[in-house]
Amino acid sequence: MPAFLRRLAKNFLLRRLLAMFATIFLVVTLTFFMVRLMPGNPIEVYINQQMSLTGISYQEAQNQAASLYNIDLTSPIWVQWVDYMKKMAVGDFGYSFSSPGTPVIKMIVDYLPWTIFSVGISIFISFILGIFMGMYIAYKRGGWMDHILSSFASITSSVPNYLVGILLLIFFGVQLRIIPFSVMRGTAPAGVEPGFSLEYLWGIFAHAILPMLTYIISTIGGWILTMKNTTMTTMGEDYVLVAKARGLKESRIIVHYVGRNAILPLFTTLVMQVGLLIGGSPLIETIFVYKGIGYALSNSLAQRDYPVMQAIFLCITISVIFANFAADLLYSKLDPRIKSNVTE
Amino acid sequence: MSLNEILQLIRKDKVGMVGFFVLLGLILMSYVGPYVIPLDEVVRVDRIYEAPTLAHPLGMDNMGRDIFSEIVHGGRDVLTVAILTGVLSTLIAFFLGAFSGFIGGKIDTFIMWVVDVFLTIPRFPLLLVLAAVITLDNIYLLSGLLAILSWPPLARSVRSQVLSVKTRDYIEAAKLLDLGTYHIIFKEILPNLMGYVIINFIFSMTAAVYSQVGLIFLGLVPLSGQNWGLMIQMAWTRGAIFYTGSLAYILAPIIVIALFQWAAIAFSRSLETIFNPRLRGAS
Amino acid sequence: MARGEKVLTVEKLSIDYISRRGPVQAVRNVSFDLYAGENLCIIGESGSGKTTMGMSLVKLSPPSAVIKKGTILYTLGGKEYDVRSMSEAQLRAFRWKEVAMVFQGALNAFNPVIRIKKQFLDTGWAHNMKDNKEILRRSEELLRFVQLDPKRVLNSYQHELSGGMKQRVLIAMSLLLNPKILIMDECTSALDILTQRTIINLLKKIKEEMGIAFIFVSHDLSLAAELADRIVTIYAGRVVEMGTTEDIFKNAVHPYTRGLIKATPTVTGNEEGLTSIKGTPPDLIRLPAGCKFNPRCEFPTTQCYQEEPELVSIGKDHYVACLKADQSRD
Repeated sequence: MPAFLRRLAKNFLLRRLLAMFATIFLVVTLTFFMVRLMPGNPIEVYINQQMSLTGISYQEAQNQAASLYNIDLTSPIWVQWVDYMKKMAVGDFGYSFSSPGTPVIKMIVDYLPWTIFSVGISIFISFILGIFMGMYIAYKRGGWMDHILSSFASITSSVPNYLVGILLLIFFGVQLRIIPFSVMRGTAPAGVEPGFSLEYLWGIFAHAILPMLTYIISTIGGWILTMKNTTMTTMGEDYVLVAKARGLKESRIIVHYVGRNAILPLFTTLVMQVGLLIGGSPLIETIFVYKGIGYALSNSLAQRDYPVMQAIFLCITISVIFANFAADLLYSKLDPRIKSNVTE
Repeated sequence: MSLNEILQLIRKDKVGMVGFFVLLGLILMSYVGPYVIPLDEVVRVDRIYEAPTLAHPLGMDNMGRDIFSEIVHGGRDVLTVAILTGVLSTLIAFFLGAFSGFIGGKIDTFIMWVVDVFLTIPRFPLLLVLAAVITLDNIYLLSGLLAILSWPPLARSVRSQVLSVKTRDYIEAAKLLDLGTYHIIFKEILPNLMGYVIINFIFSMTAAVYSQVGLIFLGLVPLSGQNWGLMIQMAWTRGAIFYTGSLAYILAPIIVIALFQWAAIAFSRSLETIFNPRLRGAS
Repeated sequence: MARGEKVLTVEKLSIDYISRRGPVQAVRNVSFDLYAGENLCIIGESGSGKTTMGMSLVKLSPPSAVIKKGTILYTLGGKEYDVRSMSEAQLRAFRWKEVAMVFQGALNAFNPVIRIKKQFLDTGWAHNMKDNKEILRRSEELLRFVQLDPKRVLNSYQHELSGGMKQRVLIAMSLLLNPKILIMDECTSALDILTQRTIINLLKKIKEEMGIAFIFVSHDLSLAAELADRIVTIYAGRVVEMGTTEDIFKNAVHPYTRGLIKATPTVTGNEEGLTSIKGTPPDLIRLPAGCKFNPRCEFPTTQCYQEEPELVSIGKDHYVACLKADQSRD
C-alpha cells in the first residue's frame, strides 16, 4: 500500500466516517428486506386489500403499490434493491398511504426538526445540570444534599420516561392545572408567524416544555449518579494527589484535574442517551401530542402506513448514527489517548 | 466470594436491601397473589371510579371493578416477559460473547461488528416497526423478540470480560494443562463473570418492561387478559387522567411498574458495589 | 559532612488509620530531624507506615488518616512553620515551593488529558509565576538537566512517555520552584534496573549541584547506601534505629536493621550470604505486646515480650530501640 493510503487508513476521522456510512448502508438494506421478505409483507397486504376493496385486478393493484413504494415490483429482487438504494440516496421515499399525494420526505422535513430541537436541548440541559450536581455531591458526600439528590436520581432514572410523562401530565396538567396542556398540543403556537420573533420563540419553547421536562427528569438522575461515581474514582487518582502536592488551587484541581477526567467516561453514555431519547420519542410525543418524528411514527404505525413508517425508522436511525459520530468526535477531542490508540 | 459474604454486604446496603424485598414482594404478589385474591370481574355501573375504601384499597375502575385485584392479576404476564427476556438475552449474550472473545480472529471481528450495528440502531423504534409487521399476540413471541433485540450490549461486556480473564495467569495455567475450552469457559471464566451476568440480567429485565409496556401503551401488541400495561393503556384511552376521581385507576399500574423498575435497579446497584470492590471502597 | 542548620523537626508523630476492624497504627511516636542539604533515608518494609508519614509531612495524608499527636516543624528562610496548624491557603503556597514531593505513583502522576507543558505552567501559576516564557524557560532547562528533550516532552501527553521518562519529568517539575526539601517516596521501585540507575545518578547530581535536603522513603537499603547521609529504619510504624550511613552499615545494632542489611545484595556483595528476615510484617491493628519485633527476632528474651524499648542514644548520632542493644553490639 502506498504511504499516503496507509496514512489515510489510519486516519481516525476517516475511519469513523466510513464506519458510519457502512452502518447506514446496512440499515437501509435491512429495512428494504424487512418490508419485502417479512411474513406479513406489507406490499402483498396492500395489494390484496386494494383488490378486495375496489375490485381492481392484481396487475392494477400492484402498479398502485409500486408507485407508492417507488419500487418496480416485477423486476428481480436485487434490481429492486439497487433501485431502492438509489432512490434512498437522493431522499426519495415514495408517498404516504394515509394521506395520498404527500411525499414522505416532506413529512420528515416537517416533523424531524421538532424532535431534534426538543431532544437536543433536553440532553444539553440535563447533561450540564447532571454533571454539576454529580460533582457537587461527590465532594459533599454524606451530606443532606447528597442524600436528597441521590435518592431523587435513583428513583427518576429507573422509572420509564413515558410514565414520567404521564405523571407530569396528570399532576401539572390536570390536577394542579399549572400547565394548560390542551392549548399546548402541537409544536408551535397557532396564529403566530414563524420567525425569530420573541413571541414565536417563546411559543415553541412553551409547546415543548412538557416533553423536554420529561426527557430532563428521566435522564438527569443517570448523569448525577454516574458523575458522582466517576468523580469519586478520579479524586483517588495519583495525579490529583500530585496536583495537590504541587500546591494547585482547589478550583483548578476540581475543574481541570478531577472534572475533565471524570466526564470522559460519560460520553459513551451520552451516545446511548441520544439513541434512547429519540427512540423513546414515539411514546413521549404521543402522550403530549407533540408533532415530532416520534409522533409521526406512532401515527403511521396506527394507520399501517408502511412507506412513512419505514422512512421514519430510517431517519431516526440515521439521526442516532450521526449523533454517535458527533459524540465520538467530541470524545476524541477531549481524550488525547483515543487518537494514538487508533494509530498504534 | 462466598454466598455468606455477599449476604453480609447486602445487609449493609439498606437501599439495595429494600430493593431486594420490594422485588421479592412484587414477584410473590404476581405469581402467588392470583391464587389468594380472585379477579373482580363484576361490572357495577353504580360504583364507577369509587374512592378507595378498606374493602377496595385502590378504589374502583371505569366499570366499577376492584382495582387492587386487577393489579394483583396484572403482574404475571409483565414479569414473565421480563424474566423470559432476561434469561434468553443473557443466554444468547453469554454464549456469543464468550465464544467471540475466546475464539478471536475474524469470527470475533464479525460478531463484534454485528453487535456494533445492533447497538447503533435505536431499539424501540425497530421494535415498533417489527410489531407492525409481526403480530405479537402472545407473551412468548414478545419475549423472544425482545431478547433478540437486547443481547448485544451484554455480549460485548462478556467478551471484554473474557478477554481480560483470558490473559490472567490461572487461565494460562489451565490452557497449559490442556483442560479444554469447555472446562475453561464453565469452570474458570463463568464463576468470574457471575456478578456481571446477574447485573446484566436485571438490566435486560427492566429494559424488557420498558419496551413491552411501551408497545402495549401504543396499542401495538394485541395481548389479552390482565396486564399492568393494558391497564395504563385502558385508563389512558378512556381519558381517566382527566377526572380527579379516576386518579387511582391510572396511578396504580404506573406506580407498581415504577416500583418494580426502581427495586430492580436499586438491587442491581447494590450488587454492583459488591462485585466491584473499587466502588465498595469509595462509598 | 558539615551539617547545615536544622530545617525540619518531626516530634512524637503518631498517625492512625480508621478502619472497620479498628484503628491501624501506621505511625507511632516518630521523631527525627532533617538538616539543610542533607540526605535522609527512611527505610522500612511495605506496610510499615513510611508512606503515610511521608504524606503527612506536607499534610496530604488521606482523610481516613488521623494525626493523633506530634509536631511537624519547618524552619525555612528564618521562619518557622508548623504544618499541622497551617491554613489551606498557607499549605497551598507552602507545598512544592518549600517542600516538593515525588510520589511512589509517579507513573500516574500526570493528568492524562492535559499536555505536560500545561502542567508545568499550572505549577508555576499556582505559585504566582506570571511570566509564561519564564516558566517554560526554566522548565526546559530542568528537563535538559534530567536528560530529556524539552521540546518533545513539553508537547506530550503522559501516555506518550515511558515510565522512566515520567519519573524524570516529575523530578524536573519538583525542582521548578527551587524547593528547600524534596521528599521522594519509592522513587525507583516501579522502574527497571537501567532506569533506576539513571535516576540514582540524577539524584546524585541534584544533591551535588543544588544543595537540596532530601528525604528518601524506600524499602531498598542499597538505594540508601548510595544516596543517604543518615538512615532511619522504621518497623511497625516506629523508629527502631537511626544513625549515619556508616553507623548503620558498619555497626547496625537492631536485629531488624541487621536483617535488612543481610537481605540486601549490593551491600553484602556476595549473593550466597543473602538471607531474608523470617516472618511477615506485623498486623498494625493488633500489634504484639512488648517489642513489636519479637515474633521475628532471633534472640528474644522474656523482657522483650513485656516491655517496648525506648529509642536511646548509643553513639554520637546513633540511636536504637532494642532492649539488648548492649549485648548485640559487635
